[in-house]
Amino acid sequence: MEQKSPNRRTFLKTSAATVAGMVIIPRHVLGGPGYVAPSDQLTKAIIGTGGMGRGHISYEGTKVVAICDVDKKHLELAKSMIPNSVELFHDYRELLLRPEIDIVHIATPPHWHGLMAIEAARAGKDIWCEKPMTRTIGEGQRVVEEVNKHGRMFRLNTWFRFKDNFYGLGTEVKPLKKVIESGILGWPLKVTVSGNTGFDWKFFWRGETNLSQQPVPEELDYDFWLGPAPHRPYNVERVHSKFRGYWDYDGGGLGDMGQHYLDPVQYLLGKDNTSPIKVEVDAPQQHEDAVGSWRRIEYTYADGCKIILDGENKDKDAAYIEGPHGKIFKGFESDIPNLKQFIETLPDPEPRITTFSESVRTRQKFALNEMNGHRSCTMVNMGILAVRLGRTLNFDPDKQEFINDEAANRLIHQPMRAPWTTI
Amino acid sequence: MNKIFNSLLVMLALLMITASIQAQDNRTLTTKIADLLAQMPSTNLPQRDKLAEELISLGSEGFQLLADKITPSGKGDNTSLVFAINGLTRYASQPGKEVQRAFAESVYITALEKATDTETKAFFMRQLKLIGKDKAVAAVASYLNNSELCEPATFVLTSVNSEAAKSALLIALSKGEGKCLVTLIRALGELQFAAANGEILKHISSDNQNLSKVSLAAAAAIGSNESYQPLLEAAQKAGFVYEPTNATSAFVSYANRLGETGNLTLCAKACDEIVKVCQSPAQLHNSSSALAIYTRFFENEAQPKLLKAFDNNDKAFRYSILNLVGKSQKASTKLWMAKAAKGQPEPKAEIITVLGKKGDLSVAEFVKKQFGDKNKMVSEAAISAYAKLKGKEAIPDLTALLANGVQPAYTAKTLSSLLDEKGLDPIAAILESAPLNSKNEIITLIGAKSGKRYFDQLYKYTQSSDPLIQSAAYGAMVNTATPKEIDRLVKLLYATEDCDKIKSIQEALVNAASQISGENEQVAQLISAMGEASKKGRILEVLPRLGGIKALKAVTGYISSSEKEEADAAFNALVNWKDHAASGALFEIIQNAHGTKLSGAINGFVRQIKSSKLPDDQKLLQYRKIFGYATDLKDKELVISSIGRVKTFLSLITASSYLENPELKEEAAQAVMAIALPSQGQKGMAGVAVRNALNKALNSLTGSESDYDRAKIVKYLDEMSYEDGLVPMFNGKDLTGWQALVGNPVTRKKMDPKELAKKQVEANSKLSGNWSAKDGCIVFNGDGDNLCSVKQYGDFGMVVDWRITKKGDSGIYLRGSPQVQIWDTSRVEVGAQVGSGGLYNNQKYPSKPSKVADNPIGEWNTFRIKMIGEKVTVYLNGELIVDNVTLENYWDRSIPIFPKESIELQAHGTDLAFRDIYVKELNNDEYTVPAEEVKDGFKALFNGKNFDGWTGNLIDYHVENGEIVLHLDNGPSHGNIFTSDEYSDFIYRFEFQLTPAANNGIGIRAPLEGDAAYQGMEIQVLDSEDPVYNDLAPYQYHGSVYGIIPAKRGYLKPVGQWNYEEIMAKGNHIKVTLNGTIILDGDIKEAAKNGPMDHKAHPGLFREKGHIGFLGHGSVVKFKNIRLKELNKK
Repeated sequence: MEQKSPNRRTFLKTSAATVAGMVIIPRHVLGGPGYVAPSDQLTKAIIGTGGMGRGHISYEGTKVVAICDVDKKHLELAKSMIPNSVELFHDYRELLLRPEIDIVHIATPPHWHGLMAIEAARAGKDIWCEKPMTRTIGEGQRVVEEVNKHGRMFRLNTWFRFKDNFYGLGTEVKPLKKVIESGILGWPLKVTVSGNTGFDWKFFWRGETNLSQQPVPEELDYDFWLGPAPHRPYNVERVHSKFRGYWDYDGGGLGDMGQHYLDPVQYLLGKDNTSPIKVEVDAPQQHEDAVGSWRRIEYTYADGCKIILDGENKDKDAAYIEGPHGKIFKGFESDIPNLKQFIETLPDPEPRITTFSESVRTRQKFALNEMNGHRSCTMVNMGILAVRLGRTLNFDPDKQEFINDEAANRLIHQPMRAPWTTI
Repeated sequence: MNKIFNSLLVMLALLMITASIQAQDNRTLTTKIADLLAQMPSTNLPQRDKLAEELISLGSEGFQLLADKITPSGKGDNTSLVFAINGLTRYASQPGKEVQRAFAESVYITALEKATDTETKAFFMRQLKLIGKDKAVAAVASYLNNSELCEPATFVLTSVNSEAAKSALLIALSKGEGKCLVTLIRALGELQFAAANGEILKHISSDNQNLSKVSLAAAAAIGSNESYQPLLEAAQKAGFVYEPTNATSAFVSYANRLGETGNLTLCAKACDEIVKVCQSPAQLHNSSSALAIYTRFFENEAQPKLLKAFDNNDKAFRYSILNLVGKSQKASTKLWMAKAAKGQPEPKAEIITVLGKKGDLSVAEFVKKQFGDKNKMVSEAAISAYAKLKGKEAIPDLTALLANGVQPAYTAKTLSSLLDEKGLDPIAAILESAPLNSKNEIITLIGAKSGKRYFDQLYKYTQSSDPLIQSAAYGAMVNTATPKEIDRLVKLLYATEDCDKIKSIQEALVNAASQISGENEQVAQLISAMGEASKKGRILEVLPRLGGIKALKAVTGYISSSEKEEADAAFNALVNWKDHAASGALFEIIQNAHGTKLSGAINGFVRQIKSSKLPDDQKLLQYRKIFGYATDLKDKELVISSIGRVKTFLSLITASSYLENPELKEEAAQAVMAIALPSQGQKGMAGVAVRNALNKALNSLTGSESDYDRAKIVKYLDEMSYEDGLVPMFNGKDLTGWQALVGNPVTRKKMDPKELAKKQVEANSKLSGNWSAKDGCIVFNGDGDNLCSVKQYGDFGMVVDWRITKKGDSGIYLRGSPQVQIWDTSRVEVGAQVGSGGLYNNQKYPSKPSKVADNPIGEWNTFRIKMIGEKVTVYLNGELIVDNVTLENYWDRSIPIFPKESIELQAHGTDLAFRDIYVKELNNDEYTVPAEEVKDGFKALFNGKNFDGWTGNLIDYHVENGEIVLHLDNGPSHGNIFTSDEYSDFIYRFEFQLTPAANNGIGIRAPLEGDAAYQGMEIQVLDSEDPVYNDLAPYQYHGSVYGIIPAKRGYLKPVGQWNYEEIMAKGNHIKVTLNGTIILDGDIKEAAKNGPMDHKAHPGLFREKGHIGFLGHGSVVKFKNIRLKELNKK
């Protein structure tokens, strides 16, 4: 049996010198390139071992020591994919009690994200959370509070603001950030996210209506799966790979993919500490329960910057980024001559920490953390509310509430089913 | 009193809102509800609002009728009902809609009370959650102790968040038990209702973990003084660590709440208690929280506590404290500076980092002093803190650090985010004198900022004896090289054997050459330098990045080189070519290569075609050209998936031909889906071939996302129109549908039918020798006459692939007449250099194509030809080459081209092949009544082109493709259109197509004003079988004389297909025939003798004559082929 190290915290506590030392000694001296000594490896637990959670098993720099799921089959499948022995949990609260876990990965459906992140912070864990960060704006505010108060590190699981080619642009975000900061495009900017600008957006994700009640499969603890979500009779359409089609748990394509696309744009526009003041939608009427499609969502910031989600690729000539003095198109084409060469001469953006284990060890905020993650998720949730309510919403980014719209404000904090609560 | 007054106000306002809708609307409530439901969900928001207003106009009685239809899940379809009611909720929740909100609240409350199952009750509570106020509080209060409904009931109350809501919860709490008790306490906690605190505290130590948890949280959220001891004890019992009742967090939250309510003494006491107790690793984060709370409410007074707590070995804890410092006021800065000065290196570095973020410039000097700290962490922290504090002003000081070799790597990295190219002078100035450990960083920095001006200065370091400096110099050349350095770079390229250096120089060459204008000019210098040396491959590798004919020629010259290195470099160059210019050379290779070379060439070819701007038709031809050579499964899949990105009809046909190939069917199915379904702003495809392909694809999809894909396909198939689309003229196996040529249209016309038939048989007997079907193609062996379609075509669009051999000559005859030209463009002696596709025999109108778009001889070409009237449009390989040009009549130049004739493939003496011949007949003609019906006395009422002869709502009704279509662009329309003329006795024939739950009607003998169903007669048009119409009266279903005589049900075709209907009206005798079945045959006088079945007044029932029209009920429908025969015309 593998030995547990119950004193992970003693490691963090006493390792200050070791961490400093490691920076100086090249890694290969310790044991070959890329080698991480087992005692230095951070430990993680994964809550939610569906398709997404199983993907987290191999995430860098950490070792899985515990997994949790309310579906026995998912739990078994994940267990079979992990080479070392792991502890299995049905109730994540029992998992949070384990002192040997450094980082908790939250890979459940979104209706659990906020609640689990809050509880993980209260348990003193660092948190790696799936997107969308939270299902309501209110839950996001609570996560920010609790994570900060407890001095926890948090990373949201999308990465395009610091890594990988930025969809159709064939480039990372960094050169775009340099261009925008240089001011050469002018201000305000309009960003259009659509198939035409090279974004392969899965706008389509619809729930079935009029579901009948079905028997709950033996392996699934449906009541626990629902957790804070309102009770609805079980139907296979609601759970697992289908849950994104129901407002109770997620918000369709916008919930699934929205933060991937909106978060880097928030960063590009320098809006990490604020939110749009207005969201307008063009969509068919939405069902109360099942997610439907939408055509266009337009966000406007106080300074006139706009982000447009063009769900039907209507505006064929739209630039990806458009300013009064220049445009950037799909494939990083631009109407500014020699733009790429110009970018090379510009200052680099401020460096940020982009591996979570480094963030956990150095206690410096991760590049995409609870603060900016909450802001980009607020965009997702503003969009969802505007689509669901079917109207333009005006938002106060400081107070984080809608202006002159009581019903919309009622949806900022959506009540949870007892005993779950974020108070 | 108040209640009555409110109701009156509501009713009055509703009357005003709905007055316009009510006008002339005599539909029964049931019909109105059915009509409303049929329009769910609305496709846009103005429509939703309009429908919500309609729903309100039904009044509370009407709403309840609708609400009564709701069934528990699985026992009926609530979809439309949910849309309708929830649409009202959202509409009424808008700011400024108080009257509507009050209406909705009141009808929901009634519906809630009347509902018998919990699901329906919960549904109405969810509506009230959004729009309810205190009336709703009273209504849901009775469910607060109902174990199945207490949860949604509390959701309503927490949303309303009024004193009444709180009191209702408290009253229920006294009787609460089990799950409801937990729920009630959660809600009271969320509403922070102090009056409930005593009752809540009773439960905090409950054995029921859930009850204990919510009670602790609620007590904490309320924050009363008396909770201090019980909450502290609970946290102590929990050992001040996390456990599922969250007792520790409750105490922490309680401390925060005490601060918020201004109870600062107790707040401080609680925080102190937490910090004192929570010292173990598993508890420290609670101390972090306590300090955060303390800082929040005591601001600068908190500093001593923070400074003291900072002396802790736990890094995470220290940082949590520093984050509080970061947010606190300036006054704290000095204290922390002092702390840093005395501190150990690691905490010192941490404090410096935070001071940098805090932005208080008074620490800048202190921070600067730490640059030279012997501890690296401190020094680096100081450098980046200084840069943060002073921004660009930090540049001189940081430059000085570089000049002195202080943390050069870190300093250079920091400078990189402050500096731009214009600011490099001071950096370049220190290069010579800088210490060795700084030089490489300076060189890299100048390179990274593209300091071209410093190229010479950097270049000499390529000869440095220090390997780090040398490699930095090579790296820096990449961004700093200019065209005048090319010769120097090439020499350097040949002088080294180091892979990294070679790569750097190659990059530098690409960047340098790219600065020259003109592709060929860019490579000229490189190529001239190449010839002299033996390491040509290194230059060849650069050329594909630059491109151009000159470069391509240079590269292909080495493809068969006996030097393996050169040949390999040339091959790689072709594969990596920046555009599709190399695809021809790659095709040469593909035809003879195998193994990895073949795969490499195919991958390069596909990538180049895919990223090219070639027209889609040409892209498809290119993919099809190489597919046969692919041997590796992965390569085949690559080609198929690339075909899936070409959205043309033939790409769909091509992809679908692999749907039964066991290896490729998955890839083919994905491709078919991508081609046929709407995407990227393009509409989806329609037609029989498309439908078949999609149905086949449904069975071929596997893999994790297949459910999702299948759902998408099924949805699209449901919405797709039932048009035929492009249909094959050639079955791929034999010449069915084709025949031999006899004479020409003029001579054939002169023959008598018997003679023509005889000659046709004779000619056909000779056909098989010349024309045949082989390998999916129609081929001609070079002897004999044209091959003609048996069917004759008027207006049509067609697509056909063709291939000729050397000196080849052929053409496509349209309407039996020559011709869209096909020939070998090398035959300049006959003028073939103009290219194929021209209308060769034209004399008055252009006979030449506008450009040459032919593929090389022996390769396939695609024609897309459209012929409307006399006008012909031709695309060759995706290029428009004949744009709407008149085709002259070759056989008789005195008359225009024949209106209808066969399509012919021209035989002209050389090997020819045709494949994939598809045609779509176009009906752009004016609608003409079939000849036999004309004889019988029918005339067209609708000309298929415009509304000549019609009147009424010509805004919502449109003419499209020869059809009358009712759109809902402007929201649901109840508009009607009528014939301008009046008719009395007649036979009226038409075809119609419904959408799900569609409702319309045929008004007959109707006046132009008023409700045609009563002022005249309405023959119902309705998707009777949609579930929303389950409850209609028999006389309301399709075909009925509305309200008078019921029609037989069950003869409508499935929604989306065309129905054929005939209405006969002769005196009082009405007969309706639907799709060949008589569904109504009766006498209106007889039927109404005891009063109309719907018990409504039908004042117009016995009008002798009137207009005929379509009566809109807010749903999308189509009509076509509308004609009429008058029976009483003398």
